[in-house]
Amino acid sequence: MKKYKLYGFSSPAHTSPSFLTPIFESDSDLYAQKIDANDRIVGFEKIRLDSLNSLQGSGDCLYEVGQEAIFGVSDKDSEVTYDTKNKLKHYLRSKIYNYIDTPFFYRDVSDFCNIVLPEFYGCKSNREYLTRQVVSNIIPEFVKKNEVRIESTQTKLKKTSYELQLSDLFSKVDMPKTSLISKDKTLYDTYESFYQFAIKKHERLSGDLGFFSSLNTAKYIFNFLDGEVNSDISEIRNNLTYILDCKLNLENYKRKEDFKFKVSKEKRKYYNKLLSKSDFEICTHVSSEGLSFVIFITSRLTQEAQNKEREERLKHI
Amino acid sequence: MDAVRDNYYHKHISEAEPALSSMPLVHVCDSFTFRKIMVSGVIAPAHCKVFKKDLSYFFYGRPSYRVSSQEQTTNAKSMFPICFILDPSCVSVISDAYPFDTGAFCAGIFSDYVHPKSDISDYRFVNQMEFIQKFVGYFYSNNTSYYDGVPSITQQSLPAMAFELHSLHQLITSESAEKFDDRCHTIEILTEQKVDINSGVIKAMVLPSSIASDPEVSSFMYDKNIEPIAYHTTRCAPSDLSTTIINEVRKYYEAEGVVES
Repeated sequence: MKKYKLYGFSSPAHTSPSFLTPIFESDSDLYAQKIDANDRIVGFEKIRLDSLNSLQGSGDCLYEVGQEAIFGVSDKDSEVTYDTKNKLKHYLRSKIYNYIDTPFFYRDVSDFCNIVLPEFYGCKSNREYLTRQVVSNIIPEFVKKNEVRIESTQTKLKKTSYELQLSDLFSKVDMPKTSLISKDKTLYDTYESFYQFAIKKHERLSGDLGFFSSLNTAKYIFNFLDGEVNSDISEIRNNLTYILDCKLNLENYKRKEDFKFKVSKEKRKYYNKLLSKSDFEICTHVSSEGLSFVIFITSRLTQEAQNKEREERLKHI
Repeated sequence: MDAVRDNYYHKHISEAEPALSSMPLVHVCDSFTFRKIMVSGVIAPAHCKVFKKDLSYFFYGRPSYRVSSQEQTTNAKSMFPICFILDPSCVSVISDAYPFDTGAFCAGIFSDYVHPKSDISDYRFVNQMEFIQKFVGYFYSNNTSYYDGVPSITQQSLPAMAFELHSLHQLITSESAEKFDDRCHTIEILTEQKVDINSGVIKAMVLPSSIASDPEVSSFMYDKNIEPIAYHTTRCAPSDLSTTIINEVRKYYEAEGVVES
């Protein structure tokens, strides 16, 4: 059977993260693989490339019809990472959170790995992803302008050491609290500033229902959370995700009055008051679309602040 | 011979009922050219080897581009194409229109189906949008069948001496049509004018996900209220991509009422 040597990879974009097209060579001609539903190579299609955007010599790897197809990806960490679908999935699953700043690429990865992050719950149409992308584009400038940054402090223990349980030791003792700080007073103020900043950049955002509902949702949620839980950013993301999860379950539940929130002991500590305030009061104040957008913006602010911090640290080395 | 063309080609089409509405126009380019269009705000005519003058190319309704043929292989442009879907009013003066890809015709790809003495000008349309709609009405009855490449007219019902119409019918219905991909049944529209893209004429854009993620590209689409149709590049043989793009644009057309589901 004819063998095809892996020649390199072609990408639609030079710098953005993207899936790559493996290019094969045989008898001085170039080919792309044709793949069946089981991700096996069923043939090779002859192509002609004027230029390969991303190239990597690939040694003597030979491929033939019937073999598992190979998939490649390029991201900030590695110009080319390639493997069979199942193996590449492991890599992408570990990285998917890093891709939230490029929502269209995130969607490709999400489909590839069958993972959906809460930052994108309910995001279905191309237009919704485009709105996320445009909002994401504004974040770096906002982070700089409003001095959004990460501040880490060691969690103070309320219990004396003999009261600590093993689980506490693992989950709390050594975990520093990571807060998102900015020129604004509270997290909600930061959110509101961002909202105003964003609609100045893109007037159309003020008419975007999902983005607009996120402002009301942020007001309700952050005002409540500010008083109820500490401001550790990963905990806030968990809180928001938990509420979103409950909200989505509730929306899918046929008889709302029969719905019971299944909260773990740990979760109950934080959410009991919020979720049982009065019958399903939370549902009248937040929309799942708005809540998902709040998670997206919070995560992007965090990601950008972390990037900035990393850059600062590198400058000092 | 204009008289022959008028009598045996144009006349039959002109007498037909036009398709109800005109379809959007599609301009296909690669990401390098797209960048130029985005920055300049115009789709500018470029030198055409077939007609030896500066022209801008549009396809009527279909996101058509060369995928493969026995003679020619897929080039970089077809690997990751970008398609603009434009309001048909964006081309105010049509220089020429043809029922197929003129590049493929001149490359001899349709040679088994056209008379050896025939010339590309034998297939030239009347350069009016209404004539194009009448061609769709005559050959396909409606935009949906045109998009799907399924003519509603039978070979037997074509006038005996209308050889050009017979050739077109054979091209479209031939069992070996996959050799030509969809270029044999996509109407091509040419203009010598610059097409201004800043006046809200871009309805949608088909582009690779990674290009849609670019901050400038996404802001461009958002501010101009352009529907993004981002496609995956994970399954990457160009012929697979072509099917993906045609299906994605079809979904958009269905939502917009351009074609029926």
